[in-house]
Amino acid sequence: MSANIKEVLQTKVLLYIMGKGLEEISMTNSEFQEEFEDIDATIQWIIGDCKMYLKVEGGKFTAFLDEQAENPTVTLTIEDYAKGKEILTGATDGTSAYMSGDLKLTGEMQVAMKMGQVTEFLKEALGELMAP
Amino acid sequence: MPEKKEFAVKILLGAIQYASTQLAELDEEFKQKIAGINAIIQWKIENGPMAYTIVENGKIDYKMDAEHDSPTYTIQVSDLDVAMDMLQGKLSATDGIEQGKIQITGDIDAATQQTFILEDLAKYLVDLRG
Repeated sequence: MSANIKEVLQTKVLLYIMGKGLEEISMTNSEFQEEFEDIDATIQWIIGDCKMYLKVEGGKFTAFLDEQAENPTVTLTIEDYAKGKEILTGATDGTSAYMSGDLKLTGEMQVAMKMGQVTEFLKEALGELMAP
Repeated sequence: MPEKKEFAVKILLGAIQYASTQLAELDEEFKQKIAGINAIIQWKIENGPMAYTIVENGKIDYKMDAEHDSPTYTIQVSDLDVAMDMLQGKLSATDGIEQGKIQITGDIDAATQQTFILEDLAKYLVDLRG
């Protein structure tokens, strides 16, 4: 079993859980829809070689797995798989990761800040699946 | 809260399906193991989601919220708690069957030969949450 395959596979699965989790929440949770209804954005995640982007429109999220958006509003890049895993499981919050330089942001900072709020909704919806 | 658990199981079921498609692309050894397999694996979780996995020509694909007309075999899971344990690798398919929590219908031999798919995935995903 290759260590790199493990890191890549786990990162892909965590991106799936976040992306599809948000997609499902945005279809069913009215509080979530209201919170994000004014956001019109494309949020690109890049962790190591893994990619996923979220299209946010009118409170609805759509996840595009293993894809690069053409003109993302904001791009969140984490080079290190272990750090990516910490951030995606909530062991490290996005703000601290940004401050330490592990998480790099390009594009509209305000949208990125707003995205920090999705973590709480994900934790609420997925419970033990998200907790490290 | 049942809705919350149903939600988590649905996401996890999808994540496992997706993970198997990716493992078939990333891991040469796993790719060789599935090379001769042609199977449709139907997943049914009592009071929960449904999905099926397609194993064909060394590749894996899946369809969520769908029922196949003629699956090779069906994995029927008795409830959401069992599904949660199984999908998180806390309960092996073999133990689940022995304890009557998981039922297999259809081609049992194929199902027995293919338990490695879930076992190999579990090896990679065991410490997913840190």
